[in-house]
Amino acid sequence: MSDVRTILKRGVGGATPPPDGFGRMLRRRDRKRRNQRIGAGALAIILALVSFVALTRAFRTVERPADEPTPAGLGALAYAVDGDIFVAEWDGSNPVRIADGRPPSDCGTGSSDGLGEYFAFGPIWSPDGRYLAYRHADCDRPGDGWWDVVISDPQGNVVTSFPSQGWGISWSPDSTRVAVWDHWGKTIGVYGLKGDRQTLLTLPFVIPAGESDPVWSPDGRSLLLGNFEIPLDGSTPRPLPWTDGDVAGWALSPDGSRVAYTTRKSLVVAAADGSNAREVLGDGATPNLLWSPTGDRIAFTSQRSRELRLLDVATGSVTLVTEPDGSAVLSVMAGAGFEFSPEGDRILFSRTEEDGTGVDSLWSVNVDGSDLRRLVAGTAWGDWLSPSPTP
Amino acid sequence: MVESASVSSVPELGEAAAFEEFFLAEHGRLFQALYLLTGDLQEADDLAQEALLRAYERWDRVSSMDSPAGYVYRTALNLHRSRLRALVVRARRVFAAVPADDFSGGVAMSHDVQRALAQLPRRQQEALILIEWLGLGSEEAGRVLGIDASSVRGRLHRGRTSLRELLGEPYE
Repeated sequence: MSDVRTILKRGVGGATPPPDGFGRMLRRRDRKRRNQRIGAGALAIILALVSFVALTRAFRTVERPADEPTPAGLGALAYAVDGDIFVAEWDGSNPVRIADGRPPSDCGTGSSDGLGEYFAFGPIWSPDGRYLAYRHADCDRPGDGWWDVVISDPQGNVVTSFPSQGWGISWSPDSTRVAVWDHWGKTIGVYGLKGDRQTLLTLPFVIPAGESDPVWSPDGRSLLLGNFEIPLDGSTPRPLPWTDGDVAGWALSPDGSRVAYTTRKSLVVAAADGSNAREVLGDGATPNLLWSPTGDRIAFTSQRSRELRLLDVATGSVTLVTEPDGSAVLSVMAGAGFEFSPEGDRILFSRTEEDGTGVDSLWSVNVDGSDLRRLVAGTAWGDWLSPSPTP
Repeated sequence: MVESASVSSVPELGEAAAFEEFFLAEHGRLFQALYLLTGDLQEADDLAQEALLRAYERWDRVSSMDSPAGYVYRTALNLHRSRLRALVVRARRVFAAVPADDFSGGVAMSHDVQRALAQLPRRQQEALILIEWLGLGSEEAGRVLGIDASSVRGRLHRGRTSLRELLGEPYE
């Protein structure tokens, strides 16, 4: 028994669940069914109203600010570290701090998960490079467990800010809106560049999607969440055609025409409607998959996240790109510190030291494994500006 | 819509008996894990009941999974996260004051551990409890949390270190 388990055992003390747990569960089921029957009628009315409102808004003309910021250059690196947001060259050189926040040690207790005042969990750049979206924690109000969304230009001038929940912020393909959890697990808000909530999507079910945040579909008509597609026009969410209980992770190709997904046994590529499924790798891929911008290669980690590999989709051949030295492991999630350069010639990834420090860092390597270099120390969250981020 | 449509199946008699066996094996452990996570006995009981009920409603599928217990843990954590906002407030109350109404009567809780856990970032709490309390491996914990095993190990390491620091425990 480890000493931490002993500590936890002390924390549990003699706590035991109340008696008749199974009987109480069955009675709970009966109550739930009764309430579902009552709620079904009301739900139909609400859905009709939500659909009408969403449909009306979906056809509204998209407004863009009159004087839009000048876009940053392709490949520019945005990252969050120690409570600040930086914009740098692709290799981390010439960093400019665009949001100056308080470090984790001076920002509440756990309110931003040890990340400080400004931070980002996923994609930061808008696809057109005119804006960045990141999170802001109110360090002096630790009772609030969620964080604001901040949208700024590449120089850090704040365009808008609004409260939301969840972690990631997803940019629409046309860079005019972001989608975030409005109320975690219940409603998703679509916000414009003025901070105006243009659409509120109410989920009439709970999606068991772990830490999922909504992301845009490549055509911009719907949001993808866990195993579901949620149309912006308010019509009924539908299961993604390739998902079932065996799918551990998936990624759409940049043009949205194909999907790659992993099961317990293999990596499969199929058409976006789920047809023409083809096993391209028999074993060894983790659920984190990354398509190249041209859709001809897929990067993934293997060997318990100690190797970064590249799959040629057409031939099925796999090459080793890099493997960290020592005890470090790769710590990657598509769209969050794991992406191709816009030209498709390099890969950005993060790694975590397992030498007792747990320190994260951002790295980059050519797809042939050459020119490995560390870009930023102290963070796993970075984003290269790319016109076609992987959903 | 999806949820209500998919929960209508009722396990057959044999399946129900199998589920009851599963329930009895997992209930106590799950309840204690959730108690560590929430610091609240009633909340832990409610989350455990709902997570197990959802497994029961889908038992035909869940029972054929590699790890039905993993499904229940994942469901319980998702339910917990959806109540996160309220629980963050509650965790800070735990930090500030000893819990009051305790329906289990003579439970000898260690409030220093409860307080220390409440101060950890949520992600570290989950990794600690899944691996140290429920005994999952980092790969399975990663599947439960929907993240990579390496991320689990990172969170676990930080959680262990932070917990010991908060409790003033010596390092290994």
